Amino acid sequence: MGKASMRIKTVVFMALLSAVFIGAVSTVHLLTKDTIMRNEAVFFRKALLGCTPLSFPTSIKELNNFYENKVKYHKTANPYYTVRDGKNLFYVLKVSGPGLWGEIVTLIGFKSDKKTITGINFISQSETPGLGARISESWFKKQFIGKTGPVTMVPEGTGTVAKTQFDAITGATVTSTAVKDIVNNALVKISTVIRKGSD
Amino acid sequence: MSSRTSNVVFSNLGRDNPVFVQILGICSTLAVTNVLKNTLVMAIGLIFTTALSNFTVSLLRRFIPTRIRMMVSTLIIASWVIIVEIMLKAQVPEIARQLGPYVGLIITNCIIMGRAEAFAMQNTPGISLVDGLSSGVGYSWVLLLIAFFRELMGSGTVWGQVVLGSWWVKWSIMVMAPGAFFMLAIFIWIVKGRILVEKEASNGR
Repeated sequence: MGKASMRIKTVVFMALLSAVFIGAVSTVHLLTKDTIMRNEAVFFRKALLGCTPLSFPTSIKELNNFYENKVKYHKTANPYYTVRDGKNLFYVLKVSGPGLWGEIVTLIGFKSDKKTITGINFISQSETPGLGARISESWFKKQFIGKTGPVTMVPEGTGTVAKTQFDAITGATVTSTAVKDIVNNALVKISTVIRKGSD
Repeated sequence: MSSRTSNVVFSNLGRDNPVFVQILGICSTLAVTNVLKNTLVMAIGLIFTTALSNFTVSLLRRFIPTRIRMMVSTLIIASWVIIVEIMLKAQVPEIARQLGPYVGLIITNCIIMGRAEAFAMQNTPGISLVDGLSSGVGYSWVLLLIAFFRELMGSGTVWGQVVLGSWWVKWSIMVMAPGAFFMLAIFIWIVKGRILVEKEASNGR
């Protein structure tokens, strides 16, 4: 009898405590949900506009206005974004590929010739900090501007200016290869998926 | 500060240090110490969760049935870690993004469970909070020291700023997990072989 009631007490205690903590975590989640979603959206919009040569406002409200005026999402079988600024038109593709530890999700911008890269941003990656994660450093991203590919890798520090090469990262061969594949994949996609005249 | 409090604080920072004496929290020591910035945020997250978990466990210690105390501790720790993670995402999204999976991994840090088991279950909330805080700080200073050397030798930088010029050949191994094993082992060797040994000897006399 005593043993059984002890058991019930234990179960009830655990259940109650779980309810209390789940309640607390859920409350915090609900209170911050909107802020987190807004943060995510701002991050994405900055990353997308950062793939074009356009300079964009930093304050959240102006940024959103800017984005909504200029960016259009094309929900086709292979979705893409267009950024229109006056006479200039840019395409942005979202391409992902397997990195060393997880998926690398990338935004890549192109000129209206659908060939020349105008910028690249990694919106999600879980590569090794200090090695593969260095793909997020600005020198690495900036070197892709103006490339027409298909790209191949040269050792870090070469500072290649060829339109078909980029400096890989020493000690991060798998990550660098993944980026190479993603970029080349995007180059193929941009030339095939977007139908002529559709923008 | 009472002698009890200062005793708890100093032993956690030094002779009972969670990392180099108790050898706890080694997984995160290996994982996050290749870049100083990540290490600091991990350290702050750990200080925060260890303190709060210790405090909560201590508050409930008279009610927790002995047989399920590990389950209860885990529940408490997991809840605090998730709350910390959500708050980081809401308040400092840039840092939260850089940390990626690390914050969630605080749940598996043995230091938190160790302190909850060994200290908070037997002591009052106030001193448990102090114990959690100082254990976190004891963990942090060791990690930051290791991270400083790993980042310096592995990337030639300190806090992302280049300090060693192009003449420095980067030790890629320092950035990878084996580098952490070497650094941690050397650190423990120095501390235990040089500093703590003398103290033990003088205590014995």
